[in-house]
Amino acid sequence: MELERRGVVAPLVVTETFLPLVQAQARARRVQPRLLVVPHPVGGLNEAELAGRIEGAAAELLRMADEARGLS
Amino acid sequence: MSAVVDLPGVTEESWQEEAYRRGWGDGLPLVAPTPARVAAALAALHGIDLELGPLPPSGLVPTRESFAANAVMAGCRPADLPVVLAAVRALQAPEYNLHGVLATTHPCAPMVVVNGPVRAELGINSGGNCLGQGTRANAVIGRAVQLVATHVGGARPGVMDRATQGGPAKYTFCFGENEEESPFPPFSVRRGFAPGQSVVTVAATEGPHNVNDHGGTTAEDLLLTIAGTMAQPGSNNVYVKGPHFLVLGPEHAATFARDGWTADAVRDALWERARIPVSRVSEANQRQFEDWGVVPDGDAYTVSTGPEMLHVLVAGGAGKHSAWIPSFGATAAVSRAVPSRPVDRA
Amino acid sequence: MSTDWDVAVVGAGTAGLAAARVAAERGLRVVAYERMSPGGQLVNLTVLHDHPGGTGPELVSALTAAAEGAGVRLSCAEVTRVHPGTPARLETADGEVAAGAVVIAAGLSAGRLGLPGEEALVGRGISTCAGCDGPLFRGRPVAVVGDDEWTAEEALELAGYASAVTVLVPGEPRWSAARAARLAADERVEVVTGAAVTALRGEGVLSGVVVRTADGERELAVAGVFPFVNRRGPEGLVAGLAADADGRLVPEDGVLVAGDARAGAEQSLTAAEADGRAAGEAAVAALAAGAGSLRVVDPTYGVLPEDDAGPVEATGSTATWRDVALFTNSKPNATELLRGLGARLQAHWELPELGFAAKDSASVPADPDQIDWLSQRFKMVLVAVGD
Repeated sequence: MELERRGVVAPLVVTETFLPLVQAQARARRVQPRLLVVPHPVGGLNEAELAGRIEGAAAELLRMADEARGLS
Repeated sequence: MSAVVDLPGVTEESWQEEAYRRGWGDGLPLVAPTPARVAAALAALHGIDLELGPLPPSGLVPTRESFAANAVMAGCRPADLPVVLAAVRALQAPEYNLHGVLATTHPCAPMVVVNGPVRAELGINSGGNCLGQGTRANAVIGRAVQLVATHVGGARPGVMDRATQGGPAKYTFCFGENEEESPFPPFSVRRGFAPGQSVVTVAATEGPHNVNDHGGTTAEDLLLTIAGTMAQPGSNNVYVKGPHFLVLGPEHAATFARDGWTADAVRDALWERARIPVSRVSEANQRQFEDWGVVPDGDAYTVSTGPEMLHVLVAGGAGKHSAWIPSFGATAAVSRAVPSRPVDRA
Repeated sequence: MSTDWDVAVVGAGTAGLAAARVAAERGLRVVAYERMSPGGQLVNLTVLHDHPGGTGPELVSALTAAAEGAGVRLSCAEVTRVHPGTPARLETADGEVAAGAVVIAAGLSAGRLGLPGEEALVGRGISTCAGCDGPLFRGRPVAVVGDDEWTAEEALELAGYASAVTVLVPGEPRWSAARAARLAADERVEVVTGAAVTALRGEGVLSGVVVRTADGERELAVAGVFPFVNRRGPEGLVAGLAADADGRLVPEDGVLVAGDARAGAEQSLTAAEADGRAAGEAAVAALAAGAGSLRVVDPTYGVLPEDDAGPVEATGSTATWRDVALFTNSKPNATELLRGLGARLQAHWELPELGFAAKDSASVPADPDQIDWLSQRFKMVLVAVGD
């Protein structure tokens, strides 16, 4: 979140489970982070499951990135 | 996080150890900011809004209590607080660049110059040894300004304060202008404030660099020595540019005045004469300067960008010494009026 | 007495966070050690009953934020041994620390069946967190083993994902009538009492269990089993402190124990919270009794500005859209996830390379130097948060 405050586009990759925690931190810092939410868990996944997580979040990341860059 | 903390098992005797362990202070003994002491200090700010914004890097805004706690810790008397407040307000001007100042490797400190009647009221030394030790007001006001930035802003040495070596001025750096012995209008008046008004001017500077000239008897003699002192290739003012200060001792100032020089004339002459021959700058450093967009003016580099960047003032007592004070460069001289209490209506 | 902390809390679950917060709000220097993520048992609960806190993670967020807001420092160092005394000494993964008072709120260990081959199947069918791993068993049958409130709650949660949930109760259930009614109402849940799991089936991945009841032994084909039996308290953690048959600690003079780790504790959220608060108050009282205290105004105190949504300042960065980096928190798989996502962006924007940085540890704030470096060199940084 500190990065965004310094003008860096910094999407936070967060699992559903930790989303409320991250949002609470953001409220404390009064920032509105860019959030890329993936299903929990991430730790403990095998290669195929991890690939699924990446597949599921990639489109949103590219959309978010293009938007930040002004390409969309 | 509460504004008042209980320190279990800590007494006034063991307080120093406790404060040091908590990472508070500057290494020197601190007055414990008990609620009673803080309340007494705050009485001096009755009716005055702090008008303070967030301090980098923490982004926290000091409260009246935490602001006053730092002044108390530094050893301030209640009456010192308005001056400390004016200085901290000035630090927050964007052009002062507090975040950059706190995080740099450069040894800059918040220099605090005081003009006006508040000097006499508080006993701020503008005479002999005014840049040195021994005067309570100078010592505690400069220290309080640094403590507010360190504590509330969170710029702890070695953590956010990344100074390579730092400098002794970072403990405290506050003095008054010797308006009484200056042949020039007060520094604050030349900066647009009314005569008789108490004003604080801050800038992020190095400690003072002495200019000894015992032999000179004319303005021209002195200018040669001062220009030679300023024309050194290792200050930030060469390539980061920015403000710098010439603090003339009263005897040197009197020599200039006798020969018909104003403060602005001194400033203009030094801009022309304080030049650093290219031969005194290594080729590698010349490339570094060029990266910053700095190229020599003919066969020499200038000190900063123009005569207006040199601020001339007068301070000190008897003797043939003056001081040149280079700055961080990426900062500015910022002045703020010392707030006064609204007149109590009977 | 020279100490590193006024109060050290071992465990940052419901009880630990409550104890830490109470002590910190009284101005004490408080550290809460949690080798996993804060929240303890609570992280595993998606739906809370009898508590107005929303979901488990939401309540964890609120409790963690409240504790940190009060000044509690969270540390992920594991505490391996506690020596009571004045001060108490804690052996941690980061070295020994001294604290004026210690609260043990380490909860219970994960459940285990105690069967051969069990450890090898943890994470490959054996789990103790329905909220975390439930989605992995979507549409497949699972078994839950246990007899307490946690067991029932986890079974209900799993019923939202699994095709069938068989609750294997070693004897008779100990859960409340209200939970019994909810279990009965869920047609995906079957409760089998007097059931013992005698063997695990599966090569590399769990495929089933063998269950023995009064009617004899039978095979139960399940993709997952969630054991909540044989959960042990932190016996042996505190030198000289006795434990009950379940390894839960019996508090003695000078040693504070709170939450599920305490012998005789009631397993409920509200009880754990109350227990934690009481332990926090007791720690404050113990320290105050030990010596007088000096009261000072905190010179570091400040408030966040009201309208602080905008950027704090420009850093003078010269980075362009070709300067993109990944910043991992070093949690397992987080780096792999970031690299995978980064590769997509790299291809999408035809970037020659990506920058990379890693936090030393997921539970400490980022090193300011790293933030400085990233903010000056990169236009965009993809950051991994949580785990």
